[in-house]
Amino acid sequence: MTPPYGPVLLAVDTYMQEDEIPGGEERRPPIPKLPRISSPAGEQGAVKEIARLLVNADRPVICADRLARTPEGLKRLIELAETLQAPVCDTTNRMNFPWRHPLNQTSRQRSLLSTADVLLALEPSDPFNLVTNKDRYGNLSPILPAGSTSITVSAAQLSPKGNYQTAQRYAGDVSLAVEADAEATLPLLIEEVKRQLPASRKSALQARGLAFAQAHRDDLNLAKQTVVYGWDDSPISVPRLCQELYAAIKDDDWSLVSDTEFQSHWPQKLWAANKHYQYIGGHGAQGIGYLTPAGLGAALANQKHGRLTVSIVGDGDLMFVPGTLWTAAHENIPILYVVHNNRCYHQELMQMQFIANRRQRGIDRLGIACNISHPDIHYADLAKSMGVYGEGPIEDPKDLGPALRRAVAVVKRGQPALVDVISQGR
Amino acid sequence: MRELVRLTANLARLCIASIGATAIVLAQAGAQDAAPAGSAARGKQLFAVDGCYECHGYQGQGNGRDGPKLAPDPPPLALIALVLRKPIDRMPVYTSKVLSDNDVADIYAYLQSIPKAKSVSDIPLLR
Repeated sequence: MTPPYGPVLLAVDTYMQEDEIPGGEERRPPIPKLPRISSPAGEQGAVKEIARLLVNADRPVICADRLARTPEGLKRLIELAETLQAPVCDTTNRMNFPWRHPLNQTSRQRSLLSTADVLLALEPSDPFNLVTNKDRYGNLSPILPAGSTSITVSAAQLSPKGNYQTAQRYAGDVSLAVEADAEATLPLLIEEVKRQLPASRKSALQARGLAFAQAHRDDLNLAKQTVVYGWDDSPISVPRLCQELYAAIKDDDWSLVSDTEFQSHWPQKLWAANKHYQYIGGHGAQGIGYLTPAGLGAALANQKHGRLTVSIVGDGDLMFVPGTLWTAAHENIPILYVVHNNRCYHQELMQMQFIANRRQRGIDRLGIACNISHPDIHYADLAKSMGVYGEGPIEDPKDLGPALRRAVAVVKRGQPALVDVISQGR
Repeated sequence: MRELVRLTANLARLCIASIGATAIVLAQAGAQDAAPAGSAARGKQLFAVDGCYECHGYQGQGNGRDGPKLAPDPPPLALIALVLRKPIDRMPVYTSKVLSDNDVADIYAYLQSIPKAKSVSDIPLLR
């Protein structure tokens, strides 16, 4: 009912479900009225303290993780960042901040943190990892400079289920931990920042903002220069896949309903997104088999708004719940699935490579339980067998754009479609 | 699993750091690119078989995250060899038992054979 929100499993005994209510209709238990819920915001003194630290900071950094749970979260973070002209680093676990906003400095997170004097972490799912370097031997070193101030605002701390499960490793160097919902706290914090911000600081903040705007433009140009390598390669490069998809949808009211972790976050680096529904965020658990059905749920929610729903799913993910395709066809839910088909559980493969090399054994057997080939899966045929429009496998990058446009046309007619793209690992 | 993803995601940063640190060492030592000529065709096979493509892409283009760009215009062979033999952090170690010096030379020949990429202005989707 209140943050932190999460899935709830309600298990009811079968007989209880089937049996009549003891005492009949007259004894039917009342259903309590649903109250309006007020989310827990940060305590006033703590909010004033955060504002004081941010206003006086020379090198503040805002890190947003599982922050925006409503459209308001996105708007409020923009307002806070612009008021302070402070850089925002977004973990991409939520649609927290516009991808092309000049203050979006996600690609510079490590370097910004290494010089930050104040860090404000909003709903960090792993505060320890956020501020800690770890080398191959497990040696730890702090990212934040000595003397810096680290602040967390997180509702996760209100109902911990377990120290590792809820917050990963304990982060011991947090200066101020505010146990509150960050989104509900932002309006109070913005108000307090505006109240404390002296007029004499504004020109300095403006200069800071201009520098970050230039840095953002530089990063975008660098990303473009990076993806030209391998652009015409086959298997198709992942940024090529992403850009061909973007070209096919960017003039529509699109919604990307898949995590971008396994696409190296190229959409965030190259696309422009500024609406709360344009990115679904991460699943929070790194599970496999989530993306395909979760995307369909989001597509169902998008349907009444007429949004063009697209999802980039891994071939491994799609293997877990292919029946989702039948559901999409059966229920006439428009969604475009683009299969990032690297014929592998690639995350696992990279890990196996690392370990096998270290142990000097089994290096020639890495594909066992990792590769999804011999036989190769034809996902377009799988889709067709379940009543979904299918294209592919697409191996030549020149064929990808036209295939995506044909598939988008199908989705715009209200039907699901799938394009199978033979792709590189990452 | 989250830790696994995070550690793997650190590869790029760490590889870059490794190359950077090693570059300094090589520069100080005056190391030269005195490598035996390799076979680009065999190197291309090894690049796939030995898993280099996993993070660096089939053309050594890098992926902007898990592995830095290696081609075209690869770093000096001595530098690549040093990183393979003594990587830091999450870059897999490739000892001579796994990858001989000749194998490394062949892979390097493959990286050298990769042609220049187009420019951003030549790609309409990036304009």
